[in-house]
Amino acid sequence: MSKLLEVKNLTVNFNTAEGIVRAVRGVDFEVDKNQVLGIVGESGCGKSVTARAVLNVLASNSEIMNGEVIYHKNNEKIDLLKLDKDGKEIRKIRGKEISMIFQEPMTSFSPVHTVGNQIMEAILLHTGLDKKEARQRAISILEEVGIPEAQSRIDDYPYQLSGGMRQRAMIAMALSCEPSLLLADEPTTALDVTIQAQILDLMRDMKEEFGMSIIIITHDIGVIAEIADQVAVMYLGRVVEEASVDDIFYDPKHPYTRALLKSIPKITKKDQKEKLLSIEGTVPDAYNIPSGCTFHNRCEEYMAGRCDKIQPELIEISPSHKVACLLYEKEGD
Amino acid sequence: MVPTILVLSIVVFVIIQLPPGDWLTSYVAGMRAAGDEVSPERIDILRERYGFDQPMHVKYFKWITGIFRGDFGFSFSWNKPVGELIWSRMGLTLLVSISTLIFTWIVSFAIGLYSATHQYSIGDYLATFIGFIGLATPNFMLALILMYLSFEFFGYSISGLFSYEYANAPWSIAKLIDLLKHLWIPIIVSGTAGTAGLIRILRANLLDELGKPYVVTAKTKGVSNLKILFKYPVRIALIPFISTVGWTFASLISGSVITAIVLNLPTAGPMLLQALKTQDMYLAGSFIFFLSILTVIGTLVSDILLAIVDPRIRYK
Repeated sequence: MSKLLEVKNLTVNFNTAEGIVRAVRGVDFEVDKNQVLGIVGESGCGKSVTARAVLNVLASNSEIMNGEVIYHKNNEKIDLLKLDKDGKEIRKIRGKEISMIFQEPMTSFSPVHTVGNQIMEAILLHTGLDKKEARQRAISILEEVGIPEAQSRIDDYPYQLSGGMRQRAMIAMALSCEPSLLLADEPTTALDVTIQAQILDLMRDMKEEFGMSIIIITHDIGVIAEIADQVAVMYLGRVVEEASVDDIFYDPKHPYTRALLKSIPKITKKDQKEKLLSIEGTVPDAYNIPSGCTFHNRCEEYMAGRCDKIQPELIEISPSHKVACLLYEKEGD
Repeated sequence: MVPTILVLSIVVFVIIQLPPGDWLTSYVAGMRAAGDEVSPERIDILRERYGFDQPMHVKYFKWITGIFRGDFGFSFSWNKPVGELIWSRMGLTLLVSISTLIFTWIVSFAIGLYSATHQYSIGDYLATFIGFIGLATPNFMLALILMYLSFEFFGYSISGLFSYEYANAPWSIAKLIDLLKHLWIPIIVSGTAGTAGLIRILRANLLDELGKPYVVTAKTKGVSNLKILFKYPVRIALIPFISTVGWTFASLISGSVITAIVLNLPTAGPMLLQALKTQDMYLAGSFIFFLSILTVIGTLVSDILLAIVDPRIRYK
């Protein structure tokens, strides 16, 4: 399969009143065409920041310190971070080649414009269609994502739709220009469980229909199991393990990934009741990132004198399985 | 709206009757202070002529039905019907107020927008500094300073709305130009405080809105920053702006009394104050009633504008 997007050594800092937060510290990953990459991690591990950095739409107090985001447009390679972040070139990519959906569809839509107005905005911007045709296109895409009576719903305001409908409309807006890559930042977190499943099904269908790739960001490992082909596990601004979804679930290498999987509640018979495991301690303060491997103070396989000194690099231990842990680095490296 | 105005008229009428005594007592007291004695017979004649001996509800009924016929009552101290007195005053007052409102809006909108989009820049600090000075300077003080500067350096007096030769002349192009020459002073004087306040409101609103997720959404669609700014955050930031139209308008008219006295403007403020002092009840009552109606209209206008701007508050 051919590559669609490569992220290399992405580093993002936030300047806050309390000091500099190193939110993303050298993240690498790749997405192939027609592939779903899941990025999973706890709150504050930098996964949303990573997604926003891809399109360079970060908050004004953040700064991309380093890294490349290479987008393969046909045979052309474009480093998105080299483009002027308010310039014309990147705006031609945003919404048309790469689009994004968010966690909270209520606040991600403008409350005072109709859903149709906001969907048509992207269509009018990126295609040569006139207003009437753009409206037709918006209606048909709303139908596609399963909104009943799209003809009249298009003139509704976001507050008139239910949560699930709003997220469907959001997806319709993101897909309206048939992008090659969809960045989905916690798209199901704000929805209840039955709606979650519907939205994930919809995303999978749309992926097949449009032949696009998806980067889905979530803290819910269940969502990963549902939809992802490839998984990147993030901890405190770094990718600690990257592998296919099967390898992540059946052959996890990194102690953090293993601990995450153990802390999923299982449905068991009454007499086999197990205690739900959790990871010791809490995520360290982002202002004081631990030395060496950032997970060492919570790790069950902590090696004193090594883990707290050396920062492990992401190394390939088998084809398409990478892990950043000193357990897998050869002695003397 | 009609019931509101009717209730307002009652409240207004009761309030202007609340001070002890009436126009006649203050008239007699004034005459006495000047050394003249008014005979009790004459007081009785006047009391009967002007209906001061009737109970309040009768007086109110006469007044309010008169208003519907276009008769606002009689001003004792000017010895003229109130209608004749207030129209020219109200006209000029409206002119000054509306120009001030427009000035306030345009200036504060431009500066607030700049301040919010260039937060913590030198321009932002400068606008904030000037804004706070504008907010803290009493209007009459500013008026005095401007009058002094204009007289000292340009050698002409800027008080009033017209030059001496045009004050009582009929309307003409020259009179209009003369009016425009004088108008900018009261606009600046009574507009600065409001402008400064609105700059701060718009800046704070916009800063709130600029960080909202829908702005990021619009960005990820590839919309340019300028277009995003005007289509989304500005529109939403204007909502609190619009909802203040109603009372801003009334406070512009009644709040500029001191300025109007200092600048010697022929507007409603000074006349209202004078009428209240002499207990010229029909004149004062008509003015207050008019201001109330303007507030009600202002509120209605702001409600309509709000419904246009924000679909969430429309009736279904």
